[in-house]
Amino acid sequence: MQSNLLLLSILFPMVAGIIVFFLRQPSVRKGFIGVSLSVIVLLSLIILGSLKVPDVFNSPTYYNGMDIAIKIGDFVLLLYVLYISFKIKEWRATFFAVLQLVPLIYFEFFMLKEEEVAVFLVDELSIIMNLIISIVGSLIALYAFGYMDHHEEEKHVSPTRQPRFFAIILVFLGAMNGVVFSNNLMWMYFFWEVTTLSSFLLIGHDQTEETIKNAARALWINMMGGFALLLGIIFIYTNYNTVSLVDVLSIKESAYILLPMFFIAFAAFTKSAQMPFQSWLLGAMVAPTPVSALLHSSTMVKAGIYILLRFSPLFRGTMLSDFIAVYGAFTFLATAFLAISQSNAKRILAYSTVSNLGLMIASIGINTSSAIAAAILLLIFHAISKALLFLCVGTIEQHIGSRDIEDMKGLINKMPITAAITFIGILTLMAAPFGMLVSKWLILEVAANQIAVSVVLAIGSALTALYYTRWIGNLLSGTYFSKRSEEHMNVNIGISLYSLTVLAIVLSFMISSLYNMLVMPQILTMKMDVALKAAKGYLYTTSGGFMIYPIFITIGLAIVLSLTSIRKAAKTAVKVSPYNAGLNYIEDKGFDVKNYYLTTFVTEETLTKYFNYISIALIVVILGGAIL
Amino acid sequence: MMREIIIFVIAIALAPFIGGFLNGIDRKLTAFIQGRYGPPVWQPFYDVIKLLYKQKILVNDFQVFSAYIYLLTAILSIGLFAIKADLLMILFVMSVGLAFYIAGALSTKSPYSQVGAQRELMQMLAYEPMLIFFAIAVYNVTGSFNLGQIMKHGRLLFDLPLMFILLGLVLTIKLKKSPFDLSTSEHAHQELVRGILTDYSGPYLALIHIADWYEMILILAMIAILWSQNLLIGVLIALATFFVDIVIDNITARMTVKWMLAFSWSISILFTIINIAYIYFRR
Repeated sequence: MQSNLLLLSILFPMVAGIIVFFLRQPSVRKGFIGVSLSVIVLLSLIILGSLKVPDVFNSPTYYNGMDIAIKIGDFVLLLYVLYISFKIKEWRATFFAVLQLVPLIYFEFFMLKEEEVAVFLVDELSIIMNLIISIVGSLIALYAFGYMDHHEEEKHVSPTRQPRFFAIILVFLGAMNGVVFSNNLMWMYFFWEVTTLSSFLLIGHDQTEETIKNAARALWINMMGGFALLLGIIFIYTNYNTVSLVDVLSIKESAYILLPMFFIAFAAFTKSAQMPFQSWLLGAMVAPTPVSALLHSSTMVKAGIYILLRFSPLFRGTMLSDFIAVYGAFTFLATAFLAISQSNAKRILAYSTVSNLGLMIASIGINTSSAIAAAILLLIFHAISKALLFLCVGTIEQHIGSRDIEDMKGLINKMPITAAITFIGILTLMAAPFGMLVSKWLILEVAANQIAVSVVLAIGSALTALYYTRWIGNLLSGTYFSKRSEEHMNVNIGISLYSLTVLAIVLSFMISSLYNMLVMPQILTMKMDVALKAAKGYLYTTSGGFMIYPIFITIGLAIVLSLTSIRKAAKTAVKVSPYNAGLNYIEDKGFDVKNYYLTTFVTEETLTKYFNYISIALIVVILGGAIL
Repeated sequence: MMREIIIFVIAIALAPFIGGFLNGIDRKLTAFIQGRYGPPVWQPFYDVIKLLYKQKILVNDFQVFSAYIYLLTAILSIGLFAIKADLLMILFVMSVGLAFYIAGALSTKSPYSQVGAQRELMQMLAYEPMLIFFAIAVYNVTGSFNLGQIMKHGRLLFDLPLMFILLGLVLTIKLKKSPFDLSTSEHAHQELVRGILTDYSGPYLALIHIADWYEMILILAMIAILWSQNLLIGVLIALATFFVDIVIDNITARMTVKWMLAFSWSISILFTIINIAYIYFRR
């Protein structure tokens, strides 16, 4: 029964996606997608409520059928990638597709001895991922209703390509559930490749030259990751004779595990767009914004983090793990640096996504129980806040026709609701007491005895605060004389933005219950001692503690005091134009003051080049850590 | 619990008086160095009280919120320090207020406050990592971020001599003293016209002055705990650092943003690594 529920959470979105592809009538299609999304959310809540985890689920009735379907699917998918790569003349994708086909044929037909393994492995981590995929994913898809209509109007797309768009989104949601629930590594590999393909198809959705070029880059880099994952699985099988995740995780004899772990980590780095692979994620920003929010910040890139978290017990306490920590910290710092020079909001968000993923990887590399807890907390809060911010930027772009933060000056007067939500979204990413910062605090505390990692993290954090603070300043700038306009928000867009905002704030407020309910049990599942305890908004270890309520109270008090002060001042205060040394101040004209982008000593190209070299060297070092 | 609340209240009540008084001494001493007579020691209090009762002059509503949150988080961080909370958490609380202080100035569209705010961002970039480095170094000696635990180690100064110098540097940047007086020029008739403070005025400027006093006390308190065995000595060390900073203020000229970043980052990374190596060497 329960395994059927899990199977449903994978198959239902996929089947719904295929049906959507054939629904041409807009109202019918939207209705059908709406119902499907509610079912997806409901399923995730039922799974959360009814499953006793951690557990493995067997189901002999359909195992063989699924297994054969997935085997066929593997080959169909790779042949399709080959076909695409010929069509768009992207030979690197061809190369990696062939590179996967050859070992896959050899492995499937000559090496793998068929034996039945458990179908699903579910623990709190899978549940957390499933909740993010289903709830955040559905809210983003809902947002896309409003966004895509406007998008197609703007680009004069006719006939509509929305059936294709939503079909891929739904199939993708199913595939993500497949990645996080599968116990058979070959199944996980298949779903992993499906997400790669969905990403390719969605980046190229607009079918312009630029989108196809960037989609091709995303394809080949992720195919390289897929190849690494396949190699990792094959190595595990040759050494330990199993493709069952639960058996792999209980391996005691760990002498031969590190090399496959390196390949799996490599796959995770490509999926999570770590340096030097960040270029595909930046290129992916040409996709419609819901795609950036769903695949490229809140879910698909988290698959890399998921798989690394999943296997982290196997490399705990090794050199490999330490090197992964250094590598993650380096990516965190390097991409934060790169973000400084950007004024394009989507690129800032893309760099900051890579940066935060790097932070999670650093945390997994540190690999103590509190570090793992911090990584999971960061994963949750980042998914929500970043999705929210991407959607805000999408909304802003459709109104003002620009995604440059310099053009967002005075947005609070032009689009008060969206600007306010963006402001809150940024706060949840950069300011205490919100969940992201609490996780960051925890990471800094656990990293403190690894000097290289912690020094790098400290600088990265300051850089992060820099590029977000000036964005807030731009959003909220204005005077009492600014022209104000009302904002009419599409209903679907509104529901989605409001829900994500509420989710970000409420979850931050309930961080201790969230930790006790989902994160701490996962730490126990991974057989670690729980070092971090939480009660009533107070998270503490033996070496320190973070109280969130005093900060919430302080912010609340500041709101109350300033509102009363503003109300009192409404009659008595003199409302002036900004100081301009006696010159005439003309609203929106006159002078042009821009943020410092430090482009005189940080240019993106040169920095990227050197950072790429360093990161490649670090990956080689990680490989060294795996071999020695 | 009750005891902690009392300590919290006493600390947040006392801090601005000490801060304002030190500010007065600063002005007197600076005047002495420059061969002037200078204002009375209580002048900062007169200034703030006068500002509090001045007419409110506003550019937008967000300024008001920024000023309040800057003050309240500064108060909270002093309170948390007094009840011996987590050092890193205190730094995080402090940085929330700072972000609002800067965003508030950025939001007013005056070129003066814009430039000032951008420079303040750079100053933040220069000293915020140093404070975290300090916390990390302290952890490497004491094994804890909790101030209660940290203060059981009586004479941290011997373990962290270089971090002590860094804290002195942080104090100079934080107080916006030369050569780091980038975001607000100390005197109103310079080219920046008070930079980040340009559009904060009247009662709201007073709030920011009070918040600055709290933040100054916070940094001085961090220096003082380096000699927690006898806090009186700790306080004397902190005051000595403060006076050295005033002297440096008077004998140096303003440098550029680029120089500040290069200087503070290279010094702080180098000092941190050497100091932590030294900690392990001493064992």
